[in-house]
This record gives sequence, C-alpha cells and structure tokens, in this order.
Amino acid sequence: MWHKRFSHIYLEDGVERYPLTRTILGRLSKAKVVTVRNYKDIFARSGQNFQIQKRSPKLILARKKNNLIYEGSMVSQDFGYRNFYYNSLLLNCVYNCDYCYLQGMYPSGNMVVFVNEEDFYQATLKAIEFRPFQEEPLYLCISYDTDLLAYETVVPYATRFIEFTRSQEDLVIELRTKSANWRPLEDVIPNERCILAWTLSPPMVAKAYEQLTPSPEQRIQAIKHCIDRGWPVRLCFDPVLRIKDWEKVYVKFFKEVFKLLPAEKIRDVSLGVFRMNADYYKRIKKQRTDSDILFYPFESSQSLISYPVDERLHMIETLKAALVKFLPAEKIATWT
Amino acid sequence: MKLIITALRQEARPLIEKLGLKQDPASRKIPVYSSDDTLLVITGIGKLYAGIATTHALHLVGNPDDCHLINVGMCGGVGDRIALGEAVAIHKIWDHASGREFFPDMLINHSLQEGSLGTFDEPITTANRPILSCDVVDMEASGVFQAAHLFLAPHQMLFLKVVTDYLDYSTEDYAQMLQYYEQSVDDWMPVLEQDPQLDKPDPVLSVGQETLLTNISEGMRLTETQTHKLHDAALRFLVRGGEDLEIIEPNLNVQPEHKSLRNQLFDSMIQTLNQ
Ligand code: SF4
Repeated sequence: MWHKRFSHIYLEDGVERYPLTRTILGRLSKAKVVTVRNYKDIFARSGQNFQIQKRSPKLILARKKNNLIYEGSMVSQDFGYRNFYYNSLLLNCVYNCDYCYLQGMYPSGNMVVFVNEEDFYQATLKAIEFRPFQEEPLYLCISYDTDLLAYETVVPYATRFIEFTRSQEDLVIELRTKSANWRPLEDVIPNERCILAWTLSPPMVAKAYEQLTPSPEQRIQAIKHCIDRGWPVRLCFDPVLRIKDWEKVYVKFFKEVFKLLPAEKIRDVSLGVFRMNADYYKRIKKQRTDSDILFYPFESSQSLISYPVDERLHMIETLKAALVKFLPAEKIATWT
Repeated sequence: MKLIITALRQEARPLIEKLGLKQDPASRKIPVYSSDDTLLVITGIGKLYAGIATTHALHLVGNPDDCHLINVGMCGGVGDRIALGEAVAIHKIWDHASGREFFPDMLINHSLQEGSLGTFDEPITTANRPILSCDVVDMEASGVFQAAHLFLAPHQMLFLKVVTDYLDYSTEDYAQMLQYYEQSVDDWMPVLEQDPQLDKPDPVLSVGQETLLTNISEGMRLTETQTHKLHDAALRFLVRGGEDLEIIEPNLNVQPEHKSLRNQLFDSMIQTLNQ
C-alpha cells in the first residue's frame, strides 16, 4: 500500500550543482524527482503527521544558508570540552525511536540533507579559529539531529567529515549512531580525534522503543569491529528509560556488554536518563498515544521534562555504581 | 469518509453512477451527492468556487480527521509526455497567479503516473500559454488544496487529473475530451475505492519480499542465525531506501553443495545488502 521509503526526492532550486546531490541521486536512481523552490515549502508545511510520514519518508535535498554550526545545548553532554558545538548536516533520521525528540522538533517526518558540504567545512574552520578556549580543541557533534552513519550508504557524510577532521589538528568530532553497518568505515583510517559513539539499550528496550534500529547485539558486533580497527569508541547508555525492573534490566545489560567488549579499550561512557525539551514533548503527546514511555508522570523544570528529580538521581547513582565495576569513574559522564 | 471534489457535473457523473451516490436535496447552490462513506461535491469552474465548495464539503463531513479528499477532473497536458485519456497523480501544484507551490504527501503506492500541475485563472490554450514547467494544467487544484489544508493534513489529499487535451482545442472537441475522461475512469477508480487506512502499521518487508527471503533461506539451507541475519540485513537495506530485493534474487535457486560455499554466498549476500 505504501510507497517505498525515499520513493521521492525533492530538490530545492539550485542544489543540482552540488556534487553530493549527484551522488545521492545516483544512489537512489529510481526515486521520482520533484523540484521545489525552497525546502521549507515541503518540510515546514503546516499540519503534517510525523508518524504517518515516517511510514514512507521522502528525501529533501537543500542548501543550508545559515546556522551551519551551533553552540552545544544544555540537554547534551559536553564531555568536558568547553568549545562544544554541533551541526545539522541532515534533519531527521531513518530510524524512529519512540523517545526521539525529533518528533516534536520537526514539523515533518521527511528527511532533509543539506548538500552544500563545503559551506559546513568552512563554517567549522571559522569556528575553530574563533573558538573561545583557544588552548582546547573544538568539539563538534556531527550526528546530532540524525543518525549519520545509518544513512551513510546513501549520503556519505560521515566518512567525508572524518577525512576533513584528519587535517584539522584542533578539531575533535563525535559521530553518534545506532547503526551496525561498519562497512562504510572500512576503508577509512581510524583517527583519535573522531569518536564513534554508539547508543546502546537493553534488547527489550531496543525492541520495544527503537523502531527500525539494528539489535544491540548487532551494534555490539560493529563496535567490536571498530575497536579492533583502532577507532576510539564511546558507549552511550542514554536515554535510560524507567521501565519495569529498570535496575535489573540495565545492570544485566551492562554485564552482557562488557562480557563482549573490552572495557579498557572503551574511550568513555555516557549515562543519562530520558529527558526532552518540554515544548517538543507537548507536541509529541498531541500526535501519539501509542507509546507508554511517553506517558510517565514526568517533572518539568528549566524547559525540560524528565523523571522526578529523586528518581533521576537514584537511577543514575545505581547505574553508575554498576558501571564502575567495569570502568573507572572518571570515564563515565552522567546526565541527571 | 471519502470526499470527492469535481469541478463539472460531467466529471462527477461516472463517479455518481459507479459509487451509487444520491443527491442531497438540501444543498442546491453547491451540488452534493453522498453515500454512507462518500461525499461528492461539484464546485463549478475556477479555484475560488473550488475553494468555497471544498470548505462547504468539509463542514458537511464534520470530522476532518477521518476524511480523505480526492480532487478528480479533466486537465490539459503540456506537451505529450502523458497520453490523452491517461490519469496523473499530482505531486506538486503550482498556482500561476500567486506563484505559490503546494505539495500533497505522496504516501500511497498506486500504478498511476505522476506529474506536476499548474492552476490558472483562465483556460490555457496554445494561443495564450506562457512557458510552462509543469506537466498538466487545470483551474481548480490550488483552490482545493488551500481550502482543504485549513482542515486536513497533506497526507489526506490526493489530486488525480486526466489529460483530455494538449491545450489546443475548440468547443467542438469537447465531446471527445469528455470521452477521454469517461474512458479512463476504470483505470483510476481502484485508487478512489482504496480505503487508505493510514493508521494501520505497515511492515517494511512486503509479503512477496518475506516469501523471497524464506525461499532463499530454505533453498540455501541457511542456519537459523543466518536466516535471521539475512532478514535483518534486508530490512535495514529497505529502511535506507534500498531498491527492491532483486539484488539478492539470483540466490533464489542456488543450492550450495557444501557448507563453506553456502557461508561464502551468505556473506556476499549480506555484504551486498549492507552496501
Ligand atoms: S536513532 Fe537517534 S535520531 Fe534516530 S530516531 Fe532514534 S533517537 Fe532519534
């Protein structure tokens, strides 16, 4: 009944000239191409239904004209880097996690790729030059409002950004993912300044709430492969969800993970409970009633919703205590 | 509820007959026909009338959340890419007067071809046509879209137009144009009759694709783990927008003689899907 995913590609006027456009059109050669004057005419239409569009998302190729780099937000961890930035090379994600804030942040379930990659590199160079703490590198998350590696076979941004980073001594990037497909990285030489960050959740959480993602087992296989190749790897147990028996479930999962992965080779770990911008959350709740984890009696403070503070603290303390059995505490960054 | 919008009585007639619709005597200025699950309005020519009648119809429907709107009608073909009598599903509507563009969501798969449409305030013929970058032209679609979009989401709208001329016609050609339209009805009627249950979850893998995977797995005598991995790699391939699974179809009738050959073929299948 549904068109296949990415059956249509919407091309913003002027993007035909970018090499990345040609690469993508070549890789999705059967897609129907529709021209559009401004990408917002399709992406930002009113009244779109994010979840219904997710059944058959379309690709929009556009040029990002401004805000090519942003300062890091309070919802994310900076891992001690004071020059903390992120960019949005893609808007939206091929996966569809129940707890994902993108559902509330974007008006559309379609995916935008900004194809003017050179402009992103230039903006990054400028940010490196003018970074406030000159003695520290610029720390840039390149897979922030998306999962870049998951879509690498269509949009080869991750590998290209890694290559760009290689020549920039003062740049550290984080590539966060749930993908299990390490093959695009196979021909790329590992780099200490390119952190591959995998989000991991216990199998029952992944199965219930991380639609379309590879299983944790597959992700762990990919992580193992990348560690063996010499990539610096970060594990993100984030967001931790307050499911039934959460403590048992997560502690058991940590044991399984570190049975399979050499803890001493993990660069660091991030641990955080579920949290979301309150406005995004309000929007999501209006659109869907089908996910129990979105209907917890959350607490709202400083425009964020999360579990009540005592529950949050207890969760983090308990799980951090479980993690320090495998890694030194200074390698564990937490968010409460 | 299905809401069908047509500009002319002649466009509505075959639908009224096929769907067994009854006229609503209370609605005289804007003709309305209905059955239990369908409401049809005849708007008259031009986007202003189209917008007014669409709004009227949506008020009659009451609950727009359950509504699926279909604008059906005749249109002129710009160039001959689309044959006379052929139906086009519209993926872009361009309003000539305002220059604005509107996009219905293209979520439901059907066999019709697709194209872009320009809505004009006056009939377009070869004598007065500007340079056009759209595939077809009409006089209502942008009015229908704008009015409907106040109440409906873009996935609740479908614009279906039948090419009945190439912008070179006179009044004598009208009977022939109507004939093109009427003869096309059977081609696109199934699209209209489809009841898109958009809230129903849809598996990424179709039944045919599941069968293909099962057959490959049985033919090659894959282990349970391999079968699972193949299924998973195929799913992920399609999630990323991969074309059909025909890339692994050559393995359908392969029956490897040794385990090692089977494992080799399995690895190469996974590699293909992961690329
Ligand atoms: S993988 Fe990340 S970005 Fe993608 S849907 Fe899940 S939470 Fe959102």
